[in-house]
Amino acid sequence: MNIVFDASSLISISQTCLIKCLADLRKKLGLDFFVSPTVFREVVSKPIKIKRFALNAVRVNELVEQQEIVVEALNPESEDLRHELDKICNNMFFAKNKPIRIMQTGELEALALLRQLNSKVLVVDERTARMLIENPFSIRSLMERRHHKKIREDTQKLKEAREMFSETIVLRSVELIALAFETNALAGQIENTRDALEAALYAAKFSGCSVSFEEIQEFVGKK
Amino acid sequence: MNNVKELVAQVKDAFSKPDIVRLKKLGNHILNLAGFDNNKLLAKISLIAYCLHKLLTKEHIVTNKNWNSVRNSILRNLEKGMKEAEEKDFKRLEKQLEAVIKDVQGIDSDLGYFLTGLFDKAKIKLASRAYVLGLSMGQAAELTGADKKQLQSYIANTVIHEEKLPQIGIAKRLEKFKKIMK
Repeated sequence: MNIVFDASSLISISQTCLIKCLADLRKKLGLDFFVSPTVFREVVSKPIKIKRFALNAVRVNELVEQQEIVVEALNPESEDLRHELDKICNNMFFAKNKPIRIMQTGELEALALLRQLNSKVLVVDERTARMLIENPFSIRSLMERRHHKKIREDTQKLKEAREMFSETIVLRSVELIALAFETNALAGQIENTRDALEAALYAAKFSGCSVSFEEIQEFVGKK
Repeated sequence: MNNVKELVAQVKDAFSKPDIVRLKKLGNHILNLAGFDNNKLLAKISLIAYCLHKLLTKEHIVTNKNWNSVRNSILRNLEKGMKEAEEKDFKRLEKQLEAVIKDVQGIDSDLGYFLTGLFDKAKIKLASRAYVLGLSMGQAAELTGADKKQLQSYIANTVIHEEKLPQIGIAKRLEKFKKIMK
């Protein structure tokens, strides 16, 4: 099964030092992991030159060199799709009749790659891309609450996006960590205890995964 | 771009008084405008407003013997910026803004205590605000020029992700995933 990562989820997982579980998950569950060239640049090529972030970039790069994660360029058809997605996603919401640009090229590339690889699973830790796929209508109400302004939506574009990604499942780094724990893909890295799992999930949260304390508490059964 | 001159004028006025609270408010307000328009020039002005507000809160900077000459340089460049904005010459305005940024970075480099400079911190801080307002993390980073990893690290230490939104929890997501695995 093909799974596409965006930059945010790889950043979180590499910072938790649990990134090697991806290789084990791949073997155990027959998964194939992909990133777009822009995501690779954001997670490896650029930060590997910055001392503060070089180690995490090295960790991800190792997996790419071992072909546990494949960098897949967009074909011409997918480039066209990316442009189309740009037009849809970045013209969905309006303030004073001006479109609000909410998604950036790298994120749109990941979405286009999903289609190219016939993948149904996107691993993304940042919130807006996830909301766009799962519930684009909720983005408008979020923006209105935050901006204290009326935000208009293009319902047609919202429907197009909804249809395009109706079968897409969004996972975050916390779900991958939970899955790795269940399948024993974290053996040797952390103990097989609830406390260890909880600690690993919080590590992902404090690395930037958009998951709340409440969600983690509920999942580990402490609520 | 009609308001650009007015915005630069307001930043200059607040800095000259100095009105620290107003500078901070201007930084946030101008960022909102920048986010709506995906306008990097406005984002730069908001960054400057934020940086100037931070500089004014640092006693060791504003009491330093070099502060007055830096302050005057910033005010001169903002004044020139206003003129360029009035002429709608936004390329030259950008040059004046870069000159202000250079002044800020100069004094921060000489007197600052941290490895991450004030201007880089401002990019991250304002990008996080843009993320709160609904832009994706990538788009927020691109708007202000913030480093995405630093932005993600910063956001992780805020309550942004505690907001109660319609949400599919961890167990439910795993359940959906396992169904398609079969």
